[in-house]
Amino acid sequence: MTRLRHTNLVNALFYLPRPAVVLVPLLLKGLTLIVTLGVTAWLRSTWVDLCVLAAVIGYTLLRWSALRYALDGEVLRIREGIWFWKTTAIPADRISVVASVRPFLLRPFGVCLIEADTPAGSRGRADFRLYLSAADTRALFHTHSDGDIDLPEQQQYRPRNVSVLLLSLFTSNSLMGLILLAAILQNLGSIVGEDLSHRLMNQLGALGELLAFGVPPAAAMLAITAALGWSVAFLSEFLRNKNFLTVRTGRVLEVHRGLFTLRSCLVQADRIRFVQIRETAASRLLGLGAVYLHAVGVSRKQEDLLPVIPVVRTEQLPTLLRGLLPEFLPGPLTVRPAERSFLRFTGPALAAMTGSVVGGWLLGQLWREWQPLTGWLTLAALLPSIWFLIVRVLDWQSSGIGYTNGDFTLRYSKRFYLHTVVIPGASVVGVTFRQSLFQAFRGNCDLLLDTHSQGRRRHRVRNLRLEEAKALFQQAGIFS
Amino acid sequence: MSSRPRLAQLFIWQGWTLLAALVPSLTVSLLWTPGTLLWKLATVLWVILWGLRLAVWLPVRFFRLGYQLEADRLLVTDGVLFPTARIFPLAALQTAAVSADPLQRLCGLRTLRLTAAGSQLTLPGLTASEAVRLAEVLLEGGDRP
Repeated sequence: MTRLRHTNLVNALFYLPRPAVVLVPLLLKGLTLIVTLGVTAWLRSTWVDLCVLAAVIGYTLLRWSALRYALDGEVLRIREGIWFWKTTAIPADRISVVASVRPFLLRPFGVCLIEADTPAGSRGRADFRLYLSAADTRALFHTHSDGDIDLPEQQQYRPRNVSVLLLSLFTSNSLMGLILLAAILQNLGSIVGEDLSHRLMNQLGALGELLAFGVPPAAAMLAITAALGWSVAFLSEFLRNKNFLTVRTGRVLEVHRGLFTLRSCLVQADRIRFVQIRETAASRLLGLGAVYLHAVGVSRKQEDLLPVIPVVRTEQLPTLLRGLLPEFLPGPLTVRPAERSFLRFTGPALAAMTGSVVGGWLLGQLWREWQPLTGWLTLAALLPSIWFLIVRVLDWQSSGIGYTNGDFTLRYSKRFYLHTVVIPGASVVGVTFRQSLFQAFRGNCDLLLDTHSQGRRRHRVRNLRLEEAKALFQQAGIFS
Repeated sequence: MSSRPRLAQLFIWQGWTLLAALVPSLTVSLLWTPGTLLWKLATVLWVILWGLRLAVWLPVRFFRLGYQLEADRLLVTDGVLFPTARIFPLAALQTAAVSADPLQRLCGLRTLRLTAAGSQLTLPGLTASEAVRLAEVLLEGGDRP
């Protein structure tokens, strides 16, 4: 067995209690006292905080000193714990994904955060998580050139900046941007002083009033807040996706991206559960699409998807997929939605539109003095409903399922996205034909296809003919 | 290869259970004034529960616990009220962890934790060398998933 060695000191960050971090901005703020009153005065006012910080750092270093690891190519081992010892062994051939993150502040030290994940364990935490040297990162994966796919030595794809820009555009979320902005302002306030963050908020309010041309100030403020949140999220996503590069070498697919924080993800092709081509209504109408893959451990987020090809024209996708993911080429759809399915697809969107209008009218009747605001709020609720209707109409035109060469190809919509998904037959763990009363009467069903990694993923294709769907799965050998 | 946990593991479980008795003891003393009827009832209740766990539950669990390693699987027997036999295919094994609390370290014992996609198995009371050897054998056994 390879001897276990000490880890990089940066790993002590894992053991630093989060509440202790609150002390740091307070102490930094106290440093302004040194300028005005001198070092003695500062020490007298902060000696308790300093003692607590020293105890926390001492405890952290003690736990770090007990952390050891070994990488011998076959098995990863980590030993940790002072009172409660634990040594974990992970065979290298069980690992599905190895992800590395090089934070901007740690780049001068030449370390990256390495996370390796297997199908077992917790979804929220990688099975192996350490800050390691860049050289140890490559040692976690062996690249195999043999296999049943005949590929040149290496396939590389570097998208243009406009693709990355569009990817960031489509994946930005106003709420996440607002949360990020709120965290920045809060930390800014605790370091620099509450006065600055209050002044910023007041300026924002004044800006809202200034830009409210014929719009109630409250509605304008909401719109500006949403726009600001989206802008922050867009900038964050763009910096995350800049310098995007996808490389396929043998059985290993690598995705590298990031401007300040460098992120890399290595995935074994045979551990990919499914590949998804994702479009919004706008991108479908413009002929654009992005490709994602799902494997265990690619992301700690709920969706657990890794972008492989940022937004490109859909006619380019087959060529790109043949080079990077030839095992996951979409096949033809053989089972399509039943006739007279339009209402089945568009019903929820039409109900949402009706509900928005009726709800807005009722609010306007109940609070007449707030009518201008309720009018704008009704419009704000109606716009996403109309967008949802467009998505559902596009879904009705294009959805279906097919089975080719052992893989299922599905096209369906979920919320505001349109998906084309290629699922290897071996990844399917459950098939459900669900019928409402009306569907049972007409012989139709919704098909629910389950795939499983560290949690269940469900793919739903609406209103297929039950007999055709069953025949497809009989052909696939799922029902013998 | 088959084995059972060492007797010291039973005493270790009983030791932790005795230590954990501080929790109900303090709780009861905080909630009711010592000497009152409610305090006496609550004390009798938790003492009985703790006594049952020490004298009945833990020994039954200890004597039911065992494992047997076969060519492609691990069989584990466990359970107190509902005796169970679990089959753990070696091909599904993803990670193995050997851990020890302070009492186990004093007695030279280890706990082996095995994880697969969707399941987990814990084997306490193994000797240190046995736990490491078993982990090595299990990780080498079975084909890749």
